[in-house]
Amino acid sequence: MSIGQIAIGRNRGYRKRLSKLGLLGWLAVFVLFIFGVIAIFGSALAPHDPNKIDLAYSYVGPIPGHPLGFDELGRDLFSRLLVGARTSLIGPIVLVISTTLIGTSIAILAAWRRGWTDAGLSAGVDIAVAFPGLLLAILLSTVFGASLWVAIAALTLAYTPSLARLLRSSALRETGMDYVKALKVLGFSDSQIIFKHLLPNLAPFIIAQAIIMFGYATLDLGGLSFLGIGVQPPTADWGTMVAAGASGLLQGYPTQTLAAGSCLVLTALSFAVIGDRLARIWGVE
Amino acid sequence: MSTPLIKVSNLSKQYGDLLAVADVSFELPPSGSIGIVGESGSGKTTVAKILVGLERATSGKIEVEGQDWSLPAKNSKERRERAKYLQIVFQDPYSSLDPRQSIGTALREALSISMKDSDEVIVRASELADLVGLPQRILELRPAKLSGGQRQRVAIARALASNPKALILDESVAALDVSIQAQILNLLVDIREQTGIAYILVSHDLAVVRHFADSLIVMKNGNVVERGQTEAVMDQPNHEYTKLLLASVPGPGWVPGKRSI
Ligand SMILES: Nc1ncnc2c1ncn2[C@@H]1O[C@H](COP(=O)(O)OP(=O)(O)OP(=O)(O)O)[C@@H](O)[C@H]1O
Ligand SMILES: [Mg+2]
Repeated sequence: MSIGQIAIGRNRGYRKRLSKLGLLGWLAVFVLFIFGVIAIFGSALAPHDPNKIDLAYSYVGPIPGHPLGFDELGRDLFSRLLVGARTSLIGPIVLVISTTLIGTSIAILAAWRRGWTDAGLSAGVDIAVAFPGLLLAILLSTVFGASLWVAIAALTLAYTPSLARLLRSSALRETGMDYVKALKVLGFSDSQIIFKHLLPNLAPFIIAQAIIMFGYATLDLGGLSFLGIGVQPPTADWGTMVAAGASGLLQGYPTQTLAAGSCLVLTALSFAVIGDRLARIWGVE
Repeated sequence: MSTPLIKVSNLSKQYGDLLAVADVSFELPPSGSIGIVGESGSGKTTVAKILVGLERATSGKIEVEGQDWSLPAKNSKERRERAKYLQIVFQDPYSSLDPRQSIGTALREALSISMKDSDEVIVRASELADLVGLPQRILELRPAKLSGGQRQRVAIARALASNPKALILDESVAALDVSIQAQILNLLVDIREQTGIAYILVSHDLAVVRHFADSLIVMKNGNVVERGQTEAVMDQPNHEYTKLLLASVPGPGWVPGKRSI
């Protein structure tokens, strides 16, 4: 087999694997792509000022130029939805990245050192897993005041232990491989082996976990905003919009809650689907 | 006898209540070969791991060309220094290579520790492939495309990348078919002829050790129960356990030089 043929063979394998994403998987990718574009260009796309209050239009339904109508303060719902995409997605991104970084570090440290380091970290993780994240969020917000960053910090603390536990067992399996020992004996430093071999081999697993986590992060941050612990008004954000629309819901104006809620759920679902498909494609379930 | 390349004195390793290695001593002369035989759990791998610094001995002394190796290397500089003396090939062909790396990348990476010139590294990598009898095209492949025997050849080539004075083979052929075992053992004999490398051959199979090792030690429950020149021990075993091991050997199996392609 020539090098050219090998390259083609690998390419074909790559395409075949991506096709396993399936219709639903590609639909999810499409949804997230659209939301991503909105998150980046939302302010420019919004037809009206998302924070302009006009009580005369309180709960007014769709009229020309205002496809979703107005919220309780007479602000344009469609514009708020578009502008809210950024906050609603940046929160989960920061949360997922911080959780993944901390969780992976703990897992690799435990698996690499083993012995007492592993025992100590694992005991800490076991205790932390049992601590409810919502309680933590309320606690932190009473101490530091409610903000998106406090909500992210609380959820990072809540998510990290279970991720670390999950990754630790894969990291243990990988560090137990003979090639890791062989590289040590050849004279490579711990960090060389960890960054050039261990992490790349764990990457598919870590990425799949992170994407699945993204779904939960969207919903949980939305939930905290809903409870008033996360994003603070008047910032447009899907979670706070669901909350703000709750009173309207009771009075027969469900549009705000439904629209913002659908965006949240759609984002969460898309991430869950992609994470699940990737985990299956990479065989890392 | 010349001064030994490796001298192990009264080596012991305690795992909790278990004394996995108990007072083991042996010497390996330059370009010599020693077999470590014993049933599963007798402590062979533990001895090997202590030698290469993957485990810390509870007590005892290891000297390599007069340097004290009793404790594992303190830092990666010391690791790199020791790598030039002793390397190891493990048993499991399926975990001996990074699945993401092509064979060529793995060999070149191993060479990069001691060689800085990248052209030289590339040339040497293909020489190593030749040395272990692998066709050049294999350098492009990932481990998943290789047979168990081919993978062990790669593991041997990688271990030879640091040009070590001794190589530990911890059951390195045990997982392979008998005919493949013979090929690899022949290969090891050839490599010794070419490079003058010394071997520590760990095995539970006396037939493998028989024609390969000049001397051997027999381990049981961490203790050395028998030692001597291979022929002498085979002809006149003193310990009951050695007799038992010998009885389970079907006869002279592998003969060096008798080659199956
Ligand atoms: N990390 C460890 N912790 C605790 N016990 C261990 C550890 N490693 C090995 N042992 C124990 O030490 C003893 C010797 O193990 P070792 O792997 O050296 O045996 P072996 O002779 O290589 O056996 P095999 O032929 O099965 O490879 C065994 O009883 C094993 O269970
Ligand atoms: Mg063993």
